[in-house]
Amino acid sequence: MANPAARWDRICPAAERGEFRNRALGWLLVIGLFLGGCSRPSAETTVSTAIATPARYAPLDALPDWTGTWGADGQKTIFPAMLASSGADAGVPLTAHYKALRAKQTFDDNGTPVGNNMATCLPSGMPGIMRHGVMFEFLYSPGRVTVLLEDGEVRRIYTDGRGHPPADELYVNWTGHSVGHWEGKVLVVDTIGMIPKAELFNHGTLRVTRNTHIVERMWRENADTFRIDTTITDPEIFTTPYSYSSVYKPNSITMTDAGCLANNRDTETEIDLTPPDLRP
Amino acid sequence: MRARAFLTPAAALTAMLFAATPAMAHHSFSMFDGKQCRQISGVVRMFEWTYPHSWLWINADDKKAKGGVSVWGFEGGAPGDLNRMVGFQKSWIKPGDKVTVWFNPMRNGKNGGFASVLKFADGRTLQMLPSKPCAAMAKGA
Repeated sequence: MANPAARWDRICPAAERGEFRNRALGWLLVIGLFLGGCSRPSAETTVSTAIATPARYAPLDALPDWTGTWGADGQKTIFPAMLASSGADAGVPLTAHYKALRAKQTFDDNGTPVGNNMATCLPSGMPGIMRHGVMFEFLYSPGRVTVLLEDGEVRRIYTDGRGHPPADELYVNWTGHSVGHWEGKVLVVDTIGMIPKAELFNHGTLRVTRNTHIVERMWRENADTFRIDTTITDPEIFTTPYSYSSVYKPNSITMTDAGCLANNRDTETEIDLTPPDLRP
Repeated sequence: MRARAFLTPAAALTAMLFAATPAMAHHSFSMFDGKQCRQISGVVRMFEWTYPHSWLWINADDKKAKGGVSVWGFEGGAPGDLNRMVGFQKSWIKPGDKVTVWFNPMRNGKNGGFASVLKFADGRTLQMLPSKPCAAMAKGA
């Protein structure tokens, strides 16, 4: 459990509190703390306004070259995730509860379960988005690696040494909260904090829980191959940690901010067949 | 001047081997009849190189339709998926191209489906989505 004193220290350092106490009565201290006597925000919400200097960017030169637009390999990454989502891959260590949920899904002619977020242009979320086949690219900046995904999702991976925020400060979202560190040419990423609407696989209706924990090891194997080894831990979903290896290939077209609504004619059951405007 | 990229027979074979699986659709396949294949010929009206899926629109001869032409729409792979598989570029399909499409039809009978095999007047063949009934129908065509 969080120590209350430590929590106050994070919000407002003890030294500043002491200085303030010397200038005010006890009851004013209490009011002052809340009304701006110490306005230091918590670490999670701190935004650096300092102008980046070359010294801050220089270390980025030592990082491996991950330039390019990548996307999941159909046979080695997308298809296996589909088999996991449908149950055709019996090797996924699902709990009895999740096996039952998987079996209850509805399936199309190809055996693919119906009901993924993307059909209605919702974000897929972590970890599912990494096995969907959408293009993505990496951006390096001081203390951070950013993954921009074609469908509009963004993964912010903090490499400045911070940890995850405590549970009562976690701002849950589709892609979760990610912290990472470099082990040579490998970026090790630890992710928690997805909303329970984020996809476990890439098709169907299985979703993560509030306690899903993802660890990824990412590296560029060669010019044409990027790899991510993923291990997911969640006792509600898996009886033992679930691990898989994903392969990504480069695209020769550039990323755009396409977003799923650019030309989404589908829902899970209907298609809009209105021909497009012929103007270029 | 850039030469127009054509899918060679070898590239077409590569496309067959490493082709998109049904999983490469961002949605399920439930609105299409994956057990059926139909064939239709026409002229490319527009090729939408768009996310989450590409769409091929053709004007097909249809004596019953007004003006003798009916418009058909075919869903295809996402640009990124098509590009990674065989280097597919938007320029590979142009308005005015004569094309035959083998497709999994809409369950509701409307003028559309999921494109499986495309064959152009110049002999190029392009695999969009593998489908057993369409592979059988398009073979030797």
